[in-house]
Amino acid sequence: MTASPATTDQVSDVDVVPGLTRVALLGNPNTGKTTLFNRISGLRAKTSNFPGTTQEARVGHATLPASPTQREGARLELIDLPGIYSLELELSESEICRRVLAGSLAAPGSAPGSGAPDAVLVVVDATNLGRNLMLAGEALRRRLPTVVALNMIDLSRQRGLHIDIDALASRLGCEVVPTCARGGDGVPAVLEAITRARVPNQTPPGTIEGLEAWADETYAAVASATSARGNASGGPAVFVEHHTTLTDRLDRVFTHPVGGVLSFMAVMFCVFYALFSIAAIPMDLIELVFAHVGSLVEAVVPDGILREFLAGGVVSAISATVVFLPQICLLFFIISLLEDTGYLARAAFVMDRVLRPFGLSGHAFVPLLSSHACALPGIMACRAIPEKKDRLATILVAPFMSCSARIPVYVLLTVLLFPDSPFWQSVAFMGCYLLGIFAGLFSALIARRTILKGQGRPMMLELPTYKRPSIRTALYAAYDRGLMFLKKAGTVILAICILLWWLSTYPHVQPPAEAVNLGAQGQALVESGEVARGEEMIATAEQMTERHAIKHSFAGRIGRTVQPVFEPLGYDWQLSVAVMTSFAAREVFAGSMATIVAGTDDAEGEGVMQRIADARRDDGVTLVFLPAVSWSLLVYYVLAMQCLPTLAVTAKEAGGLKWALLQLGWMSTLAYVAALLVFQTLTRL
Amino acid sequence: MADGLHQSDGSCCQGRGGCSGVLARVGVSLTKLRAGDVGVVCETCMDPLDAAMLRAMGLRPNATIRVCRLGEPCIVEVFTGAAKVDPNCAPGVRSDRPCDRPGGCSCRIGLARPLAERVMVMV
Repeated sequence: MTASPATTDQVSDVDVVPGLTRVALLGNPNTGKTTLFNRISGLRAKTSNFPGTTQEARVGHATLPASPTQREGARLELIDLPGIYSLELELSESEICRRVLAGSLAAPGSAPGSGAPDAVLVVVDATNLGRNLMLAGEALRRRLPTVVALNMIDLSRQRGLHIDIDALASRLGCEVVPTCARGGDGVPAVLEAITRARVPNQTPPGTIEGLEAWADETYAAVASATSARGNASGGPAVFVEHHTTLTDRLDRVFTHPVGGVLSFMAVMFCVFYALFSIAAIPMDLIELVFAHVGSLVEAVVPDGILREFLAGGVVSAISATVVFLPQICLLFFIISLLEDTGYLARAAFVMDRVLRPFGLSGHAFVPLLSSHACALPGIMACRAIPEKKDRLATILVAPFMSCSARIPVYVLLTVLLFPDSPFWQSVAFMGCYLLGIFAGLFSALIARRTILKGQGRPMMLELPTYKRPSIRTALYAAYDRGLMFLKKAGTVILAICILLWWLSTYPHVQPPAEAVNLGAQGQALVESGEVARGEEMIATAEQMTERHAIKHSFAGRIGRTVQPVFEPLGYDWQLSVAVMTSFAAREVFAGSMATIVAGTDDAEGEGVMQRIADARRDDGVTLVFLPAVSWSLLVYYVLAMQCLPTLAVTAKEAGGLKWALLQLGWMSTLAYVAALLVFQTLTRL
Repeated sequence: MADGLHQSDGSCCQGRGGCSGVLARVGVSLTKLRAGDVGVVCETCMDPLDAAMLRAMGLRPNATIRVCRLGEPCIVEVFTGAAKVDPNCAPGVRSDRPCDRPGGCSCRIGLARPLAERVMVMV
């Protein structure tokens, strides 16, 4: 059922807009706008940024139903504008909405100068109609063909609220369609209404006081309480007391200074656990699949540069990219669920108390915590932070959180430091996490006092009603984010990994004579029947060849060239190569060390740990991993920026390469100085 | 001034704006109320940007609110709907009786304490 304004002598001369294609979706936050968008466009949507901004834009497509004045199957382009409370606020989101409606900012995919959208679909929340009418009134004043979707109509009826749709349509001067986007009710009617969209025949007042009075009068004229039988009575209000009390009780728990933190920690532990455990299954599967693909390429493609490039470069690079996908999709799936329940808004306030002294807002906690799994999705999650400087500060410090890629490094070094004491290994491990958190908060404080100067705004946030989350919305969010990651970050990661492979592989060098001889002896033993001893000699020969190859590769040469830079930290050329190669991805360190000192890239292989622990420097006497060196390395890896994919995402999300370079410079400097102090202090004790 | 009325002179917000500057009953800070109290917003004496944002969210002069939770955050339930003029109040002051409004139309807003302190409410 829809309602149209009564035909009067004041009907606008502008009737149905011919050639209707682009419709802007406008509404307050938490009105179900995104849910309606997903219902209309489904998977036929893509997310990017409004041109020249870091504000996200979703553009979806659908097919309009045939109508007497529209050709059959007309294509609809739906532009999901940011949720705002008013078009007139001095906020970037409001400005973007103003500019899009005025036609001075084209939506992504539209030609510049394509003008204002053909129509506006205003989504209003029926359970909070009075407030939502303000934005609707501002939209009507834009004099664009308008349709109003009165969403959450089911919830309003449950709360005993009856809205006279016809009266509302008459007062607004445009068509009003009741919808329940969550269940898909009313969506076909919305599409039909869009085909009949007209410039409203009512113009609300232009002043804020006038608009407020207009909204109040409109609300009073169209809304009434229902009796127990659901009939509009116009009598005293029927408050759904148990609903209010339940919300009050939940809020008391979730925003309590102690209870709120505990419940938040419990929720985040579950999120964290899910990211580490559930995502690990598809991640392992992806690595397994690509390992098989690599083997297949090696079996099918003739030996040569092409085979090396495909197997060692492209397949490995794609694997290194796609392996992030399960964590990213799962993280945004869970965040969407939490947000939909209404809980996340409460949690933001709880963490705001903790983070505010460091110049961060409560909104930063989820991205920072997510960064403990992987900084990439954590940085992408910063889009939810409304204040620009808060968002930038969070993006800059997110990589300080010890991500899962650092775990192999922590494991290797803590085992080397405390070989027979799991207790002290755990303490050292925990210390790494705490150091990262402290460094992140400290860096945020510095940033907010210098380059991102300014007091953070006190937090004010609408707390949405607690409700059952929508799995469909969460799945769309996960799909959308995953696709965005593959398209943007994935291409950069692919290029970086291919470059790293090339640097580590070329130039090819002849294996050392010693390895050749050892291999020949091993082969002879195998042929003579001493298989076990022969295979051991062949394996040793291969390890020597690998070690020789990496030492003389471009990466190895770079490592040896920069070794004087790392010498004050106690690193020899072997450690310098490992540190340099892990600049692209931290997890490479353990494998690089295993390759350099033990001739195998399996750092967890049997006996490999002992060989790494016993590895000597070029003098043949000094251990590579002296205790002071191990501590220095540990501190270095906690603090250093060693993830080029993260830098790529930082540049994109922060709105410029300069932020990524700042992040790299600050973290590298902090890591170097801290590692230097640790090594120099420990060697003097 | 007599009858508990005052002229808003901006002193409550140290001249940063956001005050109506009209005769109004003396309001108390939101943080002085108790959970469950119902009142009408007199004015929001704060940074104009914050005041504008709150107003757009529904926390505007003459809005009826119910205090849900005090402290950090301060949570208020803002009721929307037509306000009735109470003839017993001074001119320019509106009051509302929750039971006369259509049921269930409201939103909840969480405010950091520095903001809640600057929302003046008449109980």
